[in-house]
Amino acid sequence: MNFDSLKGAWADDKAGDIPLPIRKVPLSETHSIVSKLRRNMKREFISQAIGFVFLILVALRSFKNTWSVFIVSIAIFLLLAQTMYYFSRFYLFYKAIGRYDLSLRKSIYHIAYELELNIEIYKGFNYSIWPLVVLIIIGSMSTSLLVILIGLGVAQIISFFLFKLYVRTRYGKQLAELKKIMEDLETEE
Amino acid sequence: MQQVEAHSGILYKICRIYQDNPADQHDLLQEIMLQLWLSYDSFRGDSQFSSWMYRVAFNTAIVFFKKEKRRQNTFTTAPYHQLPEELHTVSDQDEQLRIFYMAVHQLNKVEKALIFLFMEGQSGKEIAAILGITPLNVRVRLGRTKDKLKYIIKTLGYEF
Repeated sequence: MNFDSLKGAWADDKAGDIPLPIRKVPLSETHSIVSKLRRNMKREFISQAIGFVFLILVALRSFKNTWSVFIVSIAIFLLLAQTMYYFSRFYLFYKAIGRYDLSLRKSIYHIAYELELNIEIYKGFNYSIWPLVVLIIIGSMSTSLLVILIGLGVAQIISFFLFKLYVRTRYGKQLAELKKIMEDLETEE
Repeated sequence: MQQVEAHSGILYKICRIYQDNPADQHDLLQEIMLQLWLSYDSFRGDSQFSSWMYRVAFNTAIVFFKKEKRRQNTFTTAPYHQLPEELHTVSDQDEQLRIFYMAVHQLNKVEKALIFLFMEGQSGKEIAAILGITPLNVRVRLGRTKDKLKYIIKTLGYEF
């Protein structure tokens, strides 16, 4: 066996005689990292919208006194502003990612860069909104400033570790492999 | 899609190179078909259709992670990989291809792309444009990949 005989066998291979599954492509069931990310972003957006409505309802039903109304209202405003800002960033990313017609090096570089950047934005988004969510819930239920502050601190710590672990579990392996391919392509022999 | 049909053999071969399991090969083929469909607007006709298709197919195959086993980069040409004492000669074309695919699955993703384009008879310049590296880099990497592939085939017990 040598490369010439292999090339002959390769050229004679009748793999192309099988019809392509053009009509069987399920548009929603795709398994690339880009598609996975897009699907997760859509789900995230829907769950955030539902969560937001739920949170406002909880807050409106349980106000205890004037100053908690003030704190909760500020928190809701901040939460809304941050959510809008981050989701506009995610939308731009959603539209930009996934060009498959570039050269391999450019494509991998683009996907790895955008993926890493948006993972960091996603983490930042969650680190900032979860303490606000806790503030709204506790603020609308408790009148004790100490309870609110403790809840805020605990939420901050938990969200930090939880979302770090979440993105590492969800995208860590793929991102590490993309980076490895990128480094491999960057290296001039 | 008629143009894709005309090059369908390329797609099947890419799927066989990147996935060893028939179910995963089928999934990857569907994924490539989908991405070809979605990316078709970007084909402007200033390059060959096959070159554009290679780009889309490789970019899809490389970011396709489903059910993929951790086989890449596990092979090394380090001396502890013992060559068998006796190497078998293979003359049957189908058997040669079977051994070839078995060996190719031990290459990393970039090496797979290189060896595929070499088997397709692409020039160094064309390979460089598809992968986005220099022609010199292609020459060096391709030589190294071919040596690695030869060595893997020998460790599988076949002469090369």
